[in-house]
Amino acid sequence: MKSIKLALGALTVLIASAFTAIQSTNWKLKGDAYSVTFKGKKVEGVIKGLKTNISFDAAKPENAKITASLDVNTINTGNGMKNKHAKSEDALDAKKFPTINFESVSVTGKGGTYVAIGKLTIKGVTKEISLPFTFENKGAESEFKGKFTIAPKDYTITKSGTPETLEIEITTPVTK
Amino acid sequence: MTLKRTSIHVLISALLAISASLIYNIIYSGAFEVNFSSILNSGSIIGATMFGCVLMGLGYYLGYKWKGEKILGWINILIAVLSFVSIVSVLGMQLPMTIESPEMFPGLAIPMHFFPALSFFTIAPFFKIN
Repeated sequence: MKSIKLALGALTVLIASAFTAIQSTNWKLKGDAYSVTFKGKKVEGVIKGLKTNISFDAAKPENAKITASLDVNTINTGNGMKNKHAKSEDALDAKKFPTINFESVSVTGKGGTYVAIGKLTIKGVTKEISLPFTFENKGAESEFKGKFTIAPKDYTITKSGTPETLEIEITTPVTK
Repeated sequence: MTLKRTSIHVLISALLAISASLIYNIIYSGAFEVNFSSILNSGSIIGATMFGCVLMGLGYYLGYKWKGEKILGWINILIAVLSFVSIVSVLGMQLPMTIESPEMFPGLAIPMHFFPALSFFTIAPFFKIN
C-alpha cells in the first residue's frame, strides 16, 4: 500500500513538473498598435492584418511557439500604383496568396534577446528563416521587436523594380 | 494689356479655381470616405492655385509685351501642356504610410491641376485687349 502511495505521489510530481516545463504565457496583440514595415531600395511600406498566436516565456524560450500571418491586400507603400504592382501576379499575387505566414520551429536565447527559427511562407513558397527578436517584459503589457532580411527572388517575386533584399521590421505590443 | 488688367484676370481666375477645388475636395472626400487633409487642405489648395494663376498671368503679360497678341495662343498651349505634365508628379507622389487608400489620391489631386487653367481660359475673353 505504501509503495502504491509513493508511486502515485511520484507520478503526480512528474506530471506536474512536465506541465510546468511546457507551460508558456499566451500573448495577445494589443489592438492595432503593432507595426510591420518593409524597406528596400526605392521601396518601403507597411502591411497590416497581423494575426498571431504567441506562446512565449522569457525564462523558457525553448518552449515558445509563435505563429503569425499578414494580409497581403493591406500592403501600403504610400503610392497607389506601387500598391497595385506589389499585389500583382508577378509580385506577391495577392489574389492567389492572400496571406504571408510564419511558424516558429525553435526559439533560443536569453536576457531579452532571442532568435526564432521558423518557416516563412510568401506567395506559396516556404523558406526557413532566422528571426532575431527582443522581448521587453513589462508585466501584463510587453513588447516583441524583430528585424530580418529576405530576398524577394527566393519567393518567386520577380517583378521588375523589386529590390534584391527587403528589410522587415516588426514591433508587436502584446498583453496577457 | 495692362498689369492692372492682368492682375484682375489672375485674381478672379484664382478665386474661381480655389472655389472649384475646395468644393471638389469636399465632394470627393465625402463620396469616397477618404481623408487626405494632411497633404491636400485649404491652405495648400489656395497656395498652389494662386501660384499657378500668377504664373499664367505673368506668362500672358510678358508674352504680350514681347510679341503681342498673337503669342497668347502659344502660351495657352504651353499652359495646357504644363498642366497635363504636372499630373505625373501626382501619380508618382509618395504619401505618408499612415494614409490609407493612396490609390484614391490621384482622383482627388489630378482634376485640381486643371482648375487654374480652366478658370483662367474661361474668363480670358472678358479681358481681351480690344
